[in-house]
Amino acid sequence: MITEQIAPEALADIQLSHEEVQRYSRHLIMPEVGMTGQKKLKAASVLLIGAGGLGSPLAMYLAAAGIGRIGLVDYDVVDTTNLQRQIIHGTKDVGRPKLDSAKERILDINPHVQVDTYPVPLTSANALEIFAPYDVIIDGTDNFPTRYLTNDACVLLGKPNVYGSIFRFEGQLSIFYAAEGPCYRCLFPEPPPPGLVPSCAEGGVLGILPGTVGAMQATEAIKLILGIGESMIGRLLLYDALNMEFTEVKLRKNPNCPVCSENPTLTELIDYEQFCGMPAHDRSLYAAEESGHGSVRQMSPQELKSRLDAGENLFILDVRERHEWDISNLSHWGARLIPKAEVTMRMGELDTAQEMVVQCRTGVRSTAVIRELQQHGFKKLWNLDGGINRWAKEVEQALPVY
Amino acid sequence: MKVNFFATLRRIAGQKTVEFEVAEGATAQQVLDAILERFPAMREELLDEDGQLFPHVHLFINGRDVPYMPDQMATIIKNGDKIDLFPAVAGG
Repeated sequence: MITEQIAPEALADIQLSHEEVQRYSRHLIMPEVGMTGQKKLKAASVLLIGAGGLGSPLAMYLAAAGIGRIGLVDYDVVDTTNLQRQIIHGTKDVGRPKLDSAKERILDINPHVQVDTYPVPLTSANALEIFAPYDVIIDGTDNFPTRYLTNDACVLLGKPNVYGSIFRFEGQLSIFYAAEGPCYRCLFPEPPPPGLVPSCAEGGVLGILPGTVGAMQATEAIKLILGIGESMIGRLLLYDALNMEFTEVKLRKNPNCPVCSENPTLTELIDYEQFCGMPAHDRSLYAAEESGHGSVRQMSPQELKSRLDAGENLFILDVRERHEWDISNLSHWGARLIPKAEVTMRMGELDTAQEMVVQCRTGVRSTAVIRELQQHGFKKLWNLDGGINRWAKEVEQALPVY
Repeated sequence: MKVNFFATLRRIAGQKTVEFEVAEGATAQQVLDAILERFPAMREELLDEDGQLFPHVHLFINGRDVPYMPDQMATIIKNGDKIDLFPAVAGG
């Protein structure tokens, strides 16, 4: 258990000032925490991978609780679309590095915390070095490659990985700690094929959802450090905000796990982007690169505009959802809506002879639809590069970007 | 028998919990077949090229992971059993 890593003699050097005693009063009067527990929290170090939706409540609650040292890994800058859920950042922080605003907020909550920032992409080359000084690692990242990297680095270093992930209205929570239970690869030996499971940027997310899941991750981290309660090791919680239901399933250690079994085949970190077949970033940002692979032809918004202005016969197929169409659409250019999930069934409504520009929000879904249509004999296809959002930014500013 | 669909699967099912009628003695595989018959669009979310469940998808019967049950997909499903079907998600 993690508390064994915090040796009692280490606690002997930990002192709480009068101000700290007052600050942590509501902890200190509970026997389950008390002075010893509060010193354990102060002696503990926690590394947060990601300072976004999950990282925001994690950092704020762990700081408030008196964790002595908090490390943050994130190289992103604050974007307006983050503010709906990433509550550690404010409106004034848009455009700033996330770690700058996060550190400022943490120290405002609790100046006794040592905050270490790592404003770099987490990679196989730096993960072990960054993880090494910390007692607990918390996975709050937003993509599969970094989740596998975080898992493998934790297993190799023997550290617990407090795992949380979110999708639209649902969350998943567990602790992957190979010393005492299964790891992430025991549960998910391989990632989904690229493009099958959307990211928050593609699928949307209820803003408060990462607040709930991140707060549960922080709870588990604090329980691990204090050595109290029943931990989530070997258990997976499926949280459903829409029905307000919690489903728990039991996890097993995979005896053939490539990384945490007795005879592992994976004994060092690998290339996780290659393993997952996707970049370790929010995929919407990489729509253009992703769709550049293979034989999907790209048309820039400027080119589409000039061809439409020239009166060319181009049909625009919008493959987003109806509620996205209501936000912005190109119906004034003759666009028609057939959501991605319906394209296969409604292919008869489309004309293979017609030159067609397929369009979604950022260009990811439209690429998938083009590949599908190509398999059914459609050849005169273009992808609107960057989707309707790029069109709105570069050609038709009257349309909103979402 | 109730099947709970999570995340990407829930969107296809249109709701979280769907009731399925299965014959007495039906196996987990037969339940999966019934799911795919009702929701053909789920095939590409659930099955790989060989028709096996993707490694990132889990079918739990009464909170237990099917690959670790003795009969795996041949496990007999009883009335009142609860099935949870969920994929890995990575948002944060």
